[in-house]
Amino acid sequence: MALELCQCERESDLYVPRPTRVTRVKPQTTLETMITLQFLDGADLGHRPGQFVQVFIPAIGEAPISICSAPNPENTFDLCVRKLGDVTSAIHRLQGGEVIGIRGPFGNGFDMEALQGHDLLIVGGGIGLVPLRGVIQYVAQHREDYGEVTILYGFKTPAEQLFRDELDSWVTEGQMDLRLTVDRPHPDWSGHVGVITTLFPDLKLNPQRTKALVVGPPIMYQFVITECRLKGLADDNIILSLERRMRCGVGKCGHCQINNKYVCMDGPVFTFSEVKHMWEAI
Amino acid sequence: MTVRVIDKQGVRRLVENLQQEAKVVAPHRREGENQWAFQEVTDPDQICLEYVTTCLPPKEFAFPTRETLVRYRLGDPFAAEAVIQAEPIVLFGVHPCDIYGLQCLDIAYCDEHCDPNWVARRAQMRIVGVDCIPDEWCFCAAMGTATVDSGFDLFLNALGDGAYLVEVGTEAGEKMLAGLELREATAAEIAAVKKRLTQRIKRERQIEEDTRNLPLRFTGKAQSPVWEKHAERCYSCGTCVLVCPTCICFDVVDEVSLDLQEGTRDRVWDGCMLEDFAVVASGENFREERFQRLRHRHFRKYAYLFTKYGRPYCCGCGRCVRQCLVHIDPVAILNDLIAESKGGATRGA
Amino acid sequence: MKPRVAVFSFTSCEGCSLAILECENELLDVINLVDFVRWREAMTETSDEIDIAFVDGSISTHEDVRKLQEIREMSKMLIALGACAHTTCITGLKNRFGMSQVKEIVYGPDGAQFDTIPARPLRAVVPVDFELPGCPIDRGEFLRCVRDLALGKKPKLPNYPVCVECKRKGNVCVFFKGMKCMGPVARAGCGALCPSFGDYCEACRGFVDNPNEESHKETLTEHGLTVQEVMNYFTLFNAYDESQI
Ligand SMILES: Cc1cc2nc3c(=O)[nH]c(=O)nc-3n(C[C@H](O)[C@H](O)[C@H](O)COP(=O)(O)OP(=O)(O)OC[C@H]3O[C@@H](n4cnc5c(N)ncnc54)[C@H](O)[C@@H]3O)c2cc1C
Ligand code: SF4
Ligand code: SF4
Ligand code: SF4
Ligand code: SF4
Ligand code: SF4
Ligand code: FES
Repeated sequence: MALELCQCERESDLYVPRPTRVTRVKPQTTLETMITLQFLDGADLGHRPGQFVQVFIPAIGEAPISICSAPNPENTFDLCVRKLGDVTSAIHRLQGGEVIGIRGPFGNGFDMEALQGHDLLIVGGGIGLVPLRGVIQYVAQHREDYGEVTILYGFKTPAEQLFRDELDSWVTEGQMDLRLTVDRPHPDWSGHVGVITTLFPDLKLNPQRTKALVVGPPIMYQFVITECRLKGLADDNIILSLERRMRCGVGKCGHCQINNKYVCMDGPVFTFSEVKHMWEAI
Repeated sequence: MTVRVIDKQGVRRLVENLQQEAKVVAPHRREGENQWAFQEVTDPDQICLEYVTTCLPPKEFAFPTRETLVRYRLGDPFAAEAVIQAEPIVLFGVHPCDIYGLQCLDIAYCDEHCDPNWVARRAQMRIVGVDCIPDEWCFCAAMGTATVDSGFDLFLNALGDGAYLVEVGTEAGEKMLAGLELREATAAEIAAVKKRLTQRIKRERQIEEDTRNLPLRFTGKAQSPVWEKHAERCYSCGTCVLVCPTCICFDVVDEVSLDLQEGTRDRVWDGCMLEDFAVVASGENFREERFQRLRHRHFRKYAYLFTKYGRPYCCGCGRCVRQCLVHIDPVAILNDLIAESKGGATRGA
Repeated sequence: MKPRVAVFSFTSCEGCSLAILECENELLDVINLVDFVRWREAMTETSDEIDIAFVDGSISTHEDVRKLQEIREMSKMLIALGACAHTTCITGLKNRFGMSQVKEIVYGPDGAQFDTIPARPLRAVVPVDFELPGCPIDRGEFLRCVRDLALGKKPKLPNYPVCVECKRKGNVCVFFKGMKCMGPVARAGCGALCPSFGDYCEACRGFVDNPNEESHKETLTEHGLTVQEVMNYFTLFNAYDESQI
């Protein structure tokens, strides 16, 4: 053969979704639902928190969705999905028991080893809490490896709150400091009111020990990053997860690029120092 | 290896021999002013080896404009399989710039994950190169792709009267010549070809900078007025990226049969100059403005991928500007950027 | 339950609704996906509960306005079928003249008694959920639309110009053959039908979301068209202009 092609292993199934059973459906809000999945052959997904999968709904299409659970002995994993378009609406129509397709896990995810020994400040805006749930579960499973954990979770209205029946256990079993806020006053809400940055003034953290993990809508990043920096966090210690349009998930289709990075390969998790000079990032 | 000469009859026989074992595609004339396209050879006399450039680059034979990646049957559970179709193929009459383009895709498609469809097709592809006839838009000399020293099995350099000097690139190439009884080239013939290549390189459009420094010239250029200036008349029609031999981007679309029994996932050529390329489901467009898309395309070609893979992702074929109805020109853009940064440096000094 | 579908026609050649009947090979599959409950061309049975109404033709009489509003009332989803319903197509050309003049030209000296108003696309009268463009519609696009609706997908149109499909087909651009073309601003989806057959695109499917019209007017002028000719290229299928109503 004339051409110097790579010698790497042939990945003939790179684009082929693996059949995966929906073992449980757990609606969250009017817009979000959570599904639990297991490969038909029972295999382990082998993921890290913060990675994502490409979810394939036969006859409909594919969409990138964050894995929102930590690895577990049953080899199941959870996805929490907001209804926005074709694939996500089809996910909302699942009743449990169906077989859908999964490719992945893809992306880098959070480096849980590198976070060991640190205090964690976990900041989730709206559906941004979804990928962070995997981190929270992982930390709860390996609690002694991590220092103090503070979770800030903001949402628009009380009805949009995710993972309601788990939040208590994050505090009691997970020994984490959980602070909630809704954007605007609401008759059903007696807790803190204000956008997520209004939770920062009361925070006491050790900037040398703390790593911040921030996920939320694009608009949230600049404000939260400013607060983190005001608290003395170095840019290396502010960790974000970014979202872009994706088609392939494996660094080929070009859709997910932010400047010179591929979100599907180099991300979706980035430190703020990595992206602060990238004008397309935030 | 000695340099040999193949005459008009020899070229014809070579093509016929190759057709015994593979599909042979070669440039053919198309209707319209100076138009050519790669097409399967049915009559070797219709091949046109003296051509400026083809409308689409030869990458379409390893990365078709539309191809099925996955086929599945609906049902519980659904059953999906990869679709990888490859056949022996010879690209006959490929210019150096396009050979360089194919190598660019080899690198990108085999980086970390290996694209199975690209690799399968490339593995069965052989290349017979031919030197080219530049027009007013080419700038391969500036990009260093006017000649290539790998990426072909045979390479033909025109001597006139339909005869060519034959350079052998691989063992497979040597085998292609078996039984053709070619004579050795004379020193004068070799010298004539060398002279022509050197003269040609001087005649072409130039970039006012050593290409190796191009990524540097993009430093700090995100806010340059160059982008808006050149994007003003851009249609976002995508022609420039679709006809580009080094562009790799695609979209994936779902097709389901009307009886809802089976479906496919197909990839189609796509490109970052199109308006919706970076739109996400929330409706946000991360490159909303024309100039942002033009900027991304140029950064990608001359800075991002250059830095990542050590070579510019542009071969200077000129297809983009030639086919762009408003002739938005990477050479003009590069020279504007270079002038701007040199001007800046002088002022700063 | 299968969606209940109806087809209605207003001012047009009705070619677009007939195009549906021409999907002979696929019609059986279509009938498995949806129930046709009302269709003037094809059946006499009528029904007032409609999930999806396909409506062709532009709206050009007061009576049309009333009927369209009625259809909107009884349909969960209303889809404009074809260029007349989408952009008014050729029927919009009359809007450039006064209505009394139109009546006289079309119906002769007694024309004044006829009920005619400037032609308008459906969306100018009632909310429209989706527009299937083209003169006539692309049958494949119609079939995909029906299939997507049956699957619970939102039908989508490409928001890129015809040039993209031209390139994917490997066509030589007709500008290189001395013609002028609306492709760079026209919405794709037809598979670059006209350039693929050696003709030029007249933008029968309307424009992309953000066409660079100024640039294209300049391009056409650079290729030798007069201002009036440029106008004609832009308005042949896209004459509808709210300000003329
Ligand atoms: C790494 C990553 C992780 C993610 N994790 C999650 C998660 O955990 N949970 C979650 O809910 N979401 C997540 N998302 C977002 C999710 O991928 C999108 O919501 C999803 O792709 C939408 O797909 P869809 O088929 O439902 O919508 P589509 O039907 O594809 O589109 C929905 C909307 O997007 C726009 N759109 C789509 N295609 C086009 C087009 N061609 N042209 C113009 N507009 C278009 C339209 O406005 C349309 O209404 C993640 C995204 C990324 C990249
Ligand atoms: S071909 Fe020209 S007009 Fe079209 S997108 Fe490229 S630069 Fe813009
Ligand atoms: S220039 Fe644009 S279309 Fe071409 S490969 Fe790069 S991102 Fe893709
Ligand atoms: S950018 Fe233009 S000149 Fe460079 S390789 Fe692509 S089409 Fe050719
Ligand atoms: S023929 Fe028309 S549609 Fe095709 S590329 Fe040329 S301008 Fe675009
Ligand atoms: S090429 Fe243009 S005129 Fe022809 S069918 Fe397509 S949109 Fe209509
Ligand atoms: S999703 Fe295709 S390159 Fe990242």
